[in-house]
Amino acid sequence: VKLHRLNPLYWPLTLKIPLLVVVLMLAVALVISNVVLRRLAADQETHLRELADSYLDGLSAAVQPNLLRRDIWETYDALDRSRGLYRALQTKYALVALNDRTILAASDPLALPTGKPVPEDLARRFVTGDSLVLDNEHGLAWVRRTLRQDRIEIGNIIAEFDISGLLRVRREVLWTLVLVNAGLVTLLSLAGYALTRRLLRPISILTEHVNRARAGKLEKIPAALLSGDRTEIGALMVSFNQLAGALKEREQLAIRLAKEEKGVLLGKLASGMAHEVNNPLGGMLNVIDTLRKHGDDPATRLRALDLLERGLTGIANVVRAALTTYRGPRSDPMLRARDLDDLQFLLQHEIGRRKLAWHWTNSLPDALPIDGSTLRQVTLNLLLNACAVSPPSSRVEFTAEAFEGGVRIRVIDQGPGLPPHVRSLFEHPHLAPNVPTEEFGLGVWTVSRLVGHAGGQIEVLRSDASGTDLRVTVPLQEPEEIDAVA
Amino acid sequence: MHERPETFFARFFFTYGHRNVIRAVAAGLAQSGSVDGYIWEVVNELEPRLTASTRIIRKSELLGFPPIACSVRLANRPRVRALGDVLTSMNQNTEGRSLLATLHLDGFAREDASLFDRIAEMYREVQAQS
Repeated sequence: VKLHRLNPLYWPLTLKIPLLVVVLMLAVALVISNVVLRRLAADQETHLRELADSYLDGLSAAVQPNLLRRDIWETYDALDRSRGLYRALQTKYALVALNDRTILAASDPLALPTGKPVPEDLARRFVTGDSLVLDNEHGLAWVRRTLRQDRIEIGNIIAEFDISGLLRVRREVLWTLVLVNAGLVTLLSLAGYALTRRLLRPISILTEHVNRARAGKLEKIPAALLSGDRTEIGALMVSFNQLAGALKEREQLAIRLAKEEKGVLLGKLASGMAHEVNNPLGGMLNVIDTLRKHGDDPATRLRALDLLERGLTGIANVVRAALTTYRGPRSDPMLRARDLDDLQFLLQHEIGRRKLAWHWTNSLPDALPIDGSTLRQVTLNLLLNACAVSPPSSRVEFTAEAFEGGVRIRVIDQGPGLPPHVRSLFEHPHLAPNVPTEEFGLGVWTVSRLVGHAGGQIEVLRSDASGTDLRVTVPLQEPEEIDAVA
Repeated sequence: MHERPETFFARFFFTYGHRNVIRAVAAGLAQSGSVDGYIWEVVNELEPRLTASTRIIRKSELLGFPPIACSVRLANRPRVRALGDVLTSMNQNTEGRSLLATLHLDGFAREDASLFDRIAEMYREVQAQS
């Protein structure tokens, strides 16, 4: 579960979409900010170059005649006056150097005295040959203009500018971009979250109802939660409701059908029972006649009474077996060996009708902590099916035995074998549908459901044209389970 | 002393104006310079920040103020005499005093040429040394 939470694939859409918006916005913001700042830097540099060129053009014109005359004062005066004329450039200093690299005059003569060489670190800045050198780290820029008279180099003008103002503008633009983009990202991600939640709400409702249906609680989506049926989701919800209605109807129909089938089965059993009761009744009435006529004879009377007792015992057995099997939905927490033996009274009509060879082996102990009614119903259904598919005069075998941890029953017949879908259902009882379908008979469905609920399994040991051999294993119940059931 | 500027100073230059001398010294372009005392005082009054960076290391004796002179041939012409009268009487009327105030002067006076004898003497001394 934790791994699922970490894996973005399993994150909800309400989180994924706003996150995607944030990521995309950040990517767009980064690209745009980068482009804007690069463009701004390039524009500033171009602007600075143009300003510096203009400054040097003016200064060159003023300085050149004085440089030729090596007039210190006039050169200084030109440099000093130019400082006030180009305020946009923030000139820190400017100097005019002679060809021998000594300073003729500088706007700051104390730092750069006349006659001294141009400082080495300043001269080194122009080794690349570019006339404009920038140092963004310290917010400084330097320019150099070589002065020529009749193509002969006569000296250089070098100036240092403070470009911290330009860098401040860049920083301000960067911060503006960061703040505006952060604001936009926050706003859009919140809007994305709200919008996605709103858009996905119908899907959440639909998913919740589908999940409930899967868990067995099929319910229609209440009208108040339905989106307009013009939207795709709305149409889907309406379709789901129609499906839920149809399934519910089918479920109710299936329950009614199951009840009717149960009634039919009961009818069949009742007629079988009536037959079983009727058989000894004829004999018993004859015995009563015999008693009336020859009741005085002690030997005849004893024989007659013996016959009567056997007849009545037979009837009592049939009635008790029916009572035990069909006493309603109440579970019996204990299984008694006799409970399974009694089933023979319910089956004897069918066995007799088909003249089946009946082999019954019940080696269960007297009482076992196992759901008796479930096992009885499973056994009865399997045996009824075995009898129904067995050809006349064939053999039907039943074995019941206990082992450590449960009970095993085995039913063998000489019928035509199980259809593949029935076999598949027996082998995978947890796949049994919630309601009996036309595909499976009520008996097959009941057996697989009951075995599945009891935590048991059905093994098809053999199923072919020569017959079927089934083994059902049902585990013993835990004591607390029995208490709970009792 | 027998020294000339080019031998006494490592470097020297002309600034073509007394105020420029003060600017050159104040900026550090020159370490020293000669300036007319009248100009230094006027600049000191009008631009005290400029003179604040300078220090007077030597004052000369008082000498004659640069004169307003004219050719001897023209001295007695009425227009020239009228101009001389206007200048000498300038401190006696309001308009004239206002004009003198802008020049930071008390007034103009007709003085004897001997007032400049000391300057001529100094010129001769320099000439004799060269």
